[in-house]
This record gives sequence, structure tokens and C-alpha cells, in this order.
Amino acid sequence: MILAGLALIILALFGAPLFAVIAASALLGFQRSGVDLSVVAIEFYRIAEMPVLLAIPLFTFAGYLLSESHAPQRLVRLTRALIGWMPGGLAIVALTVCALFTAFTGASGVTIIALGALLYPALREDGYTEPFSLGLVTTSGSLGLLFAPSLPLILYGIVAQQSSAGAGVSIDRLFLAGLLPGTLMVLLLGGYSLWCNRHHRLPLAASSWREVGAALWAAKWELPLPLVVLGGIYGGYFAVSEAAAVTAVYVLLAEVLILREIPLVKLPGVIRQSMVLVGGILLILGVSLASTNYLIDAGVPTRLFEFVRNHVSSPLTFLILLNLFLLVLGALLDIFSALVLVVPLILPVAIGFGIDPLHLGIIFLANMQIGYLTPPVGLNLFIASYRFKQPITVIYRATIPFFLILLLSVLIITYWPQLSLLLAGGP
Amino acid sequence: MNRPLPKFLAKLDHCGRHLEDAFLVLLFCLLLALAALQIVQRNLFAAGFVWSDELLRILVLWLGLFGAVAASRDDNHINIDIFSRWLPGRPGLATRVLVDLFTAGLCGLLAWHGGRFVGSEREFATTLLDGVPAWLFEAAIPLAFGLIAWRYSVFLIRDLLRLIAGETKE
Repeated sequence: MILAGLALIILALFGAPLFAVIAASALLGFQRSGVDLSVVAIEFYRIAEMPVLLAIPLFTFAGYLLSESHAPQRLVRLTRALIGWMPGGLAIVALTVCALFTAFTGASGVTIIALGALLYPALREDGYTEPFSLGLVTTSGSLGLLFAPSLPLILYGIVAQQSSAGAGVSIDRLFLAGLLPGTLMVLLLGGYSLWCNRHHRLPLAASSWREVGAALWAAKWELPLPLVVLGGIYGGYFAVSEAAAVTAVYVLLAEVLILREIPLVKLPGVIRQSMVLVGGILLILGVSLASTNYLIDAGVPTRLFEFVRNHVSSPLTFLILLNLFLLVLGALLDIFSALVLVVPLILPVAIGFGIDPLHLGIIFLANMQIGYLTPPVGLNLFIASYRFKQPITVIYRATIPFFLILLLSVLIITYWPQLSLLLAGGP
Repeated sequence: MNRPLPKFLAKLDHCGRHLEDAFLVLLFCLLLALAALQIVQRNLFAAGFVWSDELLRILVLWLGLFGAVAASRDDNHINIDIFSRWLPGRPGLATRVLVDLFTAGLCGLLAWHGGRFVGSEREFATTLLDGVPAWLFEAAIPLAFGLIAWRYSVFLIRDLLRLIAGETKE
């Protein structure tokens, strides 16, 4: 058993698809406890029993479509017209735009590809140093994970709802919980950008109401989107999955039929591309439903809880250990696999220490966001290296200060639960 | 460094890809249309088809499965990939062969057990959507894993041939 487990880990490290590794561990586990192995298929079929999952393909498609259109350019223009006149304004533009954009595109690296190419040259042109610009754009690529309707937030909600301990976690409350912690990250990074460039005499862009008006007009089709999503959900008009459908239809109408920025012949390509990501995520979710079921049958969460309880006495120590664990996890696993594999195990333990499941979700995602910037897997590092044609080590050095700021915000988020729970209506 | 396939096989491969893409696009369009229709029905007529919720959930499962098949076309699955990045040349290719073998074998196993699940559902005559046999929808599970197994078997043969021919990892 141990040998088989070791072999699986080695295979995973050599690049075997994670779904296959997870499925193999589930098959091995069930085989050992004498359960018929078709249980893995039965568990997989539970994907068709989760109504909220509908939100995932629809939001992913909307995000990919937006990134293919000229919406990123319009968003940059508008934000620049609004706050570009401030010292360090463009850096703050970059942070804001990326955060808003990532909320819609999920954490798939699309942000760096769609916006980085726009923002990086603009930053350099405005006199920001190369390491600063590279670091900023690379970091911004995963900023906004905590804002609705990001995929990881939805996935956390879905996974938490599967366990009895987290049955009360609703996705609309999760969306509210992420709002202030996400804003904190943007503010801290923005403050750092201002401080960093305090000696640079950057040319300030003139502010003109005419440009603000023109930019607003140009972005008239995208501007109502957050309102449609959030207003629709919190106004009680529709559920999360319905909001996803409205978003997808809206974006399709606006970008393809009205603005005509994506020709119809390109549409199948966009659908395919977004469904490849959806397939990757759902496949991992499906097989990990089986592996989690085996672990629960084998009493692993209970034993884990007892073990932690015996060695850790205070919630504070638990949170410190949790942070360390999640940072390492984030450096090794991508956010989606980490969510579906680890949340079912640590959720009961965290609740045992009196941590609100909503707060746990925000801690989890905030830690994972840092994982995007840490080697060896840090997705953003590789995408940025590829996109800006810089060696990975240069990118890595450039992101270190931003990494530290994010670490600070993760600590604040972890040890100040009210920040997450205030808007979501408390524990 | 793909070896050119025989003409007949290349044509078949080409057709398969188009068929697969078309199916994926069709599934998504169906999903989007049905989800939109449902909202209109619910808000304007305070009613809807009884089966549309169930059908939507099945469509999500199918999209996930066939999206995953599409992802395996370019070996584009979520993985960790720490070592292989720094393991060029023949050792890199050799581990590739191992990974292909493992993935193909495992997906074959999943397809087999998925098939047994579908078979038992057929025996029990479970129904969905007001009387349609459930196994028809569930058959997507063994079918998709079978296709993924096929894809990785092709990778396996390709990488094995390259290993034997003494090529190195590109």
C-alpha cells in the first residue's frame, strides 16, 4: 500500500495527469477494503447531481469570450481615465483592472495573457522600472480570485456543501465573504506601488472629463456586467447558476452580435478552449469525489481531527499550522486540485477549532493565490516568463516584494475573521 | 516531431477531431440555450419543463467528460510536472512513456468499471427524465474514459517509437 502510494506520488511528480493519480488512489483504496470498483463510476456520476456546477461552464465561457474581445482594452482605458492622473496611477489601474478581470476569467492564467500584453508596455512607457512592471503584472494575474464570480470561490462552495460539516456554506454568502479580503489585497499592493514609486517623477496623465465620458461610453456594454451578476444574485432575482447563464448570454450578445469583435467562425474555438478547462476541472472533481468517499469510509478525517486535537491546543496555533500547510500545498498543487482534495479533509478539523467555513474558504483561496507565485509550479511565473520572454528567474526575483505583500495580507485575512465574515452576516 | 501517419489514418484522425469538436460545441450550445430558456420560463411564465433541471445537470456531466477528452488530445490535463521540466533527453522521454502507460491503463480500467456500472443500471432499468433509460446518459462515463485511454495509448506508441529510434525529448 505504502509502496503503491509512493509510486503514485512519483508518477504525479513526473507529470502524470492528476486526475489519473487521484483515480488510481481511489481504486487502490476501495480494492483494499473490498468494495466493488464500479463505485468510482457511481461517485463520478454525482457530478450530474450538483445543480450549482452549471455555473462553471457558463462563467468560464463568458470569461474566455471577454478575454478574446476588446473588453480588456476598454477596461484599461476607462480605469486610466478615472485614476490614471494619480501618482502611481497606472500601477493602480493595472491592479484594479486585473482584479476585476480575473473575477470573471477564474484563475486560468488568462488575465496575464489578455491584459499583461496591454499593461506591461504601458507601464514601461510611463517610466516604471522593468522589475517593478514585471512583478506587478505577474502578481496581478491571480489577483481577484476572492471576487465574485471567480471559479475557485464557486468550487470551494460546491466542495464544502458535499460534506455534512459545510452543508450551510452558500455560494452567495461566499461571494460576500471574499469582498473585503480581496479589496485588502488590492489596497496593500496599491499602497506598495505608490510607496515604491514615490521618488520617480512620473509624468502625470491629465485628467479630462471628456475622456472619462468617452471611455465610459466605449465600455457601455461591459459596465453593467458586475451589476447583472451581483445585483441579480443579491436582489434575489436569480440563483448563482442562473446568474452564470445570464452572464454567458449577455456577453455572447454584446461581444459577438452587437460589437462584432469576435466573428462567428471563431466562436467554436472559444467554446472548445473554455470547455477544455472545464473538462480538466470536472474530471478532477469527479475522481476526487470517489477518493474523498474512500477516505471518509476509512475514517481519515476523524483520525486527522483527533491527531490535530491531540497536538494542537489553541485555534491560533491551528491557524498558523494551516497557513504553513496551505502555502506548501499551493506551491505544489494547482488551486482546483487542492480545493477538491484537501477541503473535505480539513473542513471538519477547522470547524472543530471554531473556524467559520466561510472564513476557511477565504483563507484557503488567499493562500492558494500565493501559490501562483511560488516555484516550482507557480503557474503565473511560467505564463509571465513565456508571455514577456524573460527567464523564469528574472520573473521570480521581480515578484518577491509583491509576494511578501500578499503574504502580509494572507496573515491579516487569517487572523482577522471579521474581515471575511462582516459582509457575509457573521458566523 | 510527429511521425506522419499513413494517409488513411490521418484522414480518420482528422475526421475524428472535427466530430469531437462539433459535438463539444453542440453540447455547450444546448446547455446555454436550455439554461437561458429556463430563466425566461421561470420569470415570465412562472413555469418550466419538469425535466430541464435534470437535463441541464446531465449536460454538465457530458460537457465535463468530453471537455476532458478534448483536453487529452494535446495532453493538456492538470498536472504537477516538476521533474520532467528539468529532465531532458532520453530519461525525460522514458518517464514520458511510463506516464503514458499509466494514464492509458488507468483510464482503460475506469472505462471498464464504468461499463460495469452502466450494465448494472441497465439491468435495474433505472430511468431519468420521465422514462428515458438512465444508462444511455451514464454511458458517457465509460465512453469518455475509453477515448482518453485511446489518446494516451497513441501517445504511448508514439513516445515508445521515438525512444526506440533514439530520439530525444523535444
